[in-house]
Amino acid sequence: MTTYVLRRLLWVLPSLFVVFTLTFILVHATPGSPWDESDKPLPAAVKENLARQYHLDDPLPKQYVDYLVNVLHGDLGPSYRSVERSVSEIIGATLPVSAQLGLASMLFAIIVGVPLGALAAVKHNTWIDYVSSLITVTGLATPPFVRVSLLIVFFSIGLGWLPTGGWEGIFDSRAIIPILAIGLGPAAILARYTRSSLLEVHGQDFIRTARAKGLTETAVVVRHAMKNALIPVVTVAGVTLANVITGAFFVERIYSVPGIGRQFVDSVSGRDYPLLLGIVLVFALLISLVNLLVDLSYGFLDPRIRYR
Amino acid sequence: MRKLIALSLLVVLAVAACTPSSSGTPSPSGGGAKQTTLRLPEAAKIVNTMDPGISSGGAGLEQIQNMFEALAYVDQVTGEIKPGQAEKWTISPDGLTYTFNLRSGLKWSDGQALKASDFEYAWKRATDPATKSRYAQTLWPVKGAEAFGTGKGTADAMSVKASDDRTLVVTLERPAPFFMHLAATWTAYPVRKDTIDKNGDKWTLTKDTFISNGHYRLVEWKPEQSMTVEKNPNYWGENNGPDTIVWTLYDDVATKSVLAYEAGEVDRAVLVGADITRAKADGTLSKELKKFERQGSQWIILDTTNAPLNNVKVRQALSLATDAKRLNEVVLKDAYFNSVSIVAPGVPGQKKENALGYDVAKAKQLLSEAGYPDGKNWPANVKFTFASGAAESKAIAEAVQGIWKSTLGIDIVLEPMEDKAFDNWRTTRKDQPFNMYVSGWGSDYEDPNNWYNLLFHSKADFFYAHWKNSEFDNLIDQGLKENDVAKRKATYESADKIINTEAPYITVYHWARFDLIKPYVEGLNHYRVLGRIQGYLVRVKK
Repeated sequence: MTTYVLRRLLWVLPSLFVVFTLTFILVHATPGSPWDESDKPLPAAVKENLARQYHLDDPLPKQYVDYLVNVLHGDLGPSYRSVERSVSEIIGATLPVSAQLGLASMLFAIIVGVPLGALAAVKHNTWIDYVSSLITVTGLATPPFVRVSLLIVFFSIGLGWLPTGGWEGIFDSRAIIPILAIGLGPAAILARYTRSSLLEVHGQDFIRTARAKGLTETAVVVRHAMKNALIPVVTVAGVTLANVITGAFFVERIYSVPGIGRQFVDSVSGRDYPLLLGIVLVFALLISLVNLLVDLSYGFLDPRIRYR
Repeated sequence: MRKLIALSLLVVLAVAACTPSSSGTPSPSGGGAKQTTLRLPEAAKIVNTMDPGISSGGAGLEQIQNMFEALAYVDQVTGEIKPGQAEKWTISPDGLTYTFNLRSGLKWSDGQALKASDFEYAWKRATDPATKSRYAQTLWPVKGAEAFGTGKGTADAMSVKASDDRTLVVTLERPAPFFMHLAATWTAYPVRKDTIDKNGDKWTLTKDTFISNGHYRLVEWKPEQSMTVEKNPNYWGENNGPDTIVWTLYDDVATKSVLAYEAGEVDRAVLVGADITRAKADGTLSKELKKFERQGSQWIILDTTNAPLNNVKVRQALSLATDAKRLNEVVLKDAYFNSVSIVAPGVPGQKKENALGYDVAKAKQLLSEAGYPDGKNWPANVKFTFASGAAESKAIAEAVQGIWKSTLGIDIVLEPMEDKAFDNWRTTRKDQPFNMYVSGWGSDYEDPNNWYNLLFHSKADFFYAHWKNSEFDNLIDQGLKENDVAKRKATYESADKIINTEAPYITVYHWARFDLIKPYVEGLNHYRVLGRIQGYLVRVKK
């Protein structure tokens, strides 16, 4: 088990290297410069000076090596568009916000999604099942940026209950709309998986045995069926978790949440190469770790699985 | 199993609870007298530097202007240059030496004395290439500045000198009648050496390190979230504006500020596109809607060296057939001001009589004379290039494609590009051929130099129209140095006639600004040049 974890962790490094190299090539293959010219073009002499000062006029292989050496020393470099804050500082300030938001949304998704799916499976083909389907299909079919816009229109403009945007921490009313907007998708996914997985387990022999022992229906579902039905759900939850922490891009943008997803969108459209590379590295690391955790959790859920 | 679920939930909860959360909004301190707060929206993405020496003057300028003051300032109602930190200045008869006398008792926001040497430091710092200024060229007319700024000279050779605590002497490379406008620009604001030396790039981030000298001073800046400023008690003059100004920073400021405005979270909204139409039709919003003039022009820029647009008659025909009134009023829903001429109205030298105007019959005749009667023989691949993210450029391209087809019988091909790819394409047009694209310019200061010399001189060729006319170049070279106001204007007017006749640019509209302003806010105005809100002119009556 320990060897397995160590080996998996060692594999993270070459993955990061490949991700870094591919991203570096991609961003430099995309046309455009980091300087903001949306309002008015910058004079050529100023652009030349900026390129020189940020070493953008160096040959690409040199830029690649220089940057790689800096990254290995833990220095992610300056952000071209934010004079005051370095890439590490921007990530340090924004990642915790996205992580809080992501974990809270995931918690919401688990609390709502798993019971909803279980209920639908137990009350298979009744009106409860149909209502649950309606909710989950709606959750799956609307992308987060549509949900967040609808929630703003409904709660902020229509009812006037919640602010139209901003962030004052996870325990502020400003967190409600983004949590709902992000969490509804994963909740729908978890509900669908829980339902179908539970239905499949329900037909198996050990469930018949449990019933034959004279257990109550609740005990059968909760203690026997759920445990086995959860393996696919955990897999999906793991992948979704990585998505939710890192992937709230447009919700953060639209609701003005100072998270890392918003920086990611900006760094792409603004050609802020160091910020983009830094965020991609952090995302790659996070996703690798979450995947490892998911793999490890199988062992706890299913004793037949062994790590080598 | 139940334990496991419970445990994992607990872990998630614990992580969520342990991560720090800031609390409390940056609410202005209420106390004794009634405190007033002005709540404004601002674009988050571009407020990426508050450093006046580095700022390119995009979003962020409003905050900088409210917190700093130069030697002189541009009156935001009349446009006159007025004494700011300098109480007076003298210009030598040859127009080369400017001597500024600072007011007595000037202070920084932290109470320290402000000296002429602070200006000397700030000007040299902004010009230094290592500062990475996005607007360094502002001070290049100062003797030795361009050489220093392009890495060929030294700071010592730049001719700005504090001869004592209250006197600043500046010598120019050559006479520049517009120099006072430059001295009033944000690049020329004083900055404090000790805080910059100590805190480096981060000096703008906190209230203790971001020391300023204007009407307001920083309370708190939360990057990408908000910025709060309060009245600067150490400012030399009066300030009857709101006690506090809070800017909320939005990624998509136009869309988000309207939502926040309707929810009562901000006192002003920025309106574009469909929201203008909606506000005009709305009973309440239409009363709070205000349209402001912005001294700028949006053009279709033509490559004058590439066939068929290298033929002046073709360019004139396209210009004469472009129904700019229809473009603004119908296609763009009257979001701007109708086209008058290439240079925006109000710039000395601009004369509306010089414009070609709209005349389809004449356009057809010229096109026929150029060898394309009713569009016959017109080449197949004349391209109109635009940034696909710029909805308006797309609308313009599609509209003129239809207009030219129906009036002149010619076909053009639309070529959309991703926004940054378009920026890149535009930059490489310097020495590569193209047909046409949309871009624009707005005054940084109301002087012909900011248009004719900076953009249209064949050596500048800012928009790469590759248009050369030696008579035009000579006239604007003369105008640049001319100290006599009337003569200068006449010289530029002659040049204006030439460029309008030669039609390297087709004006689509002149810039405008639409705001929603709450009824309890008075005096909120956008001056036609730059047009940032100056808090000290605003009264919040609530």
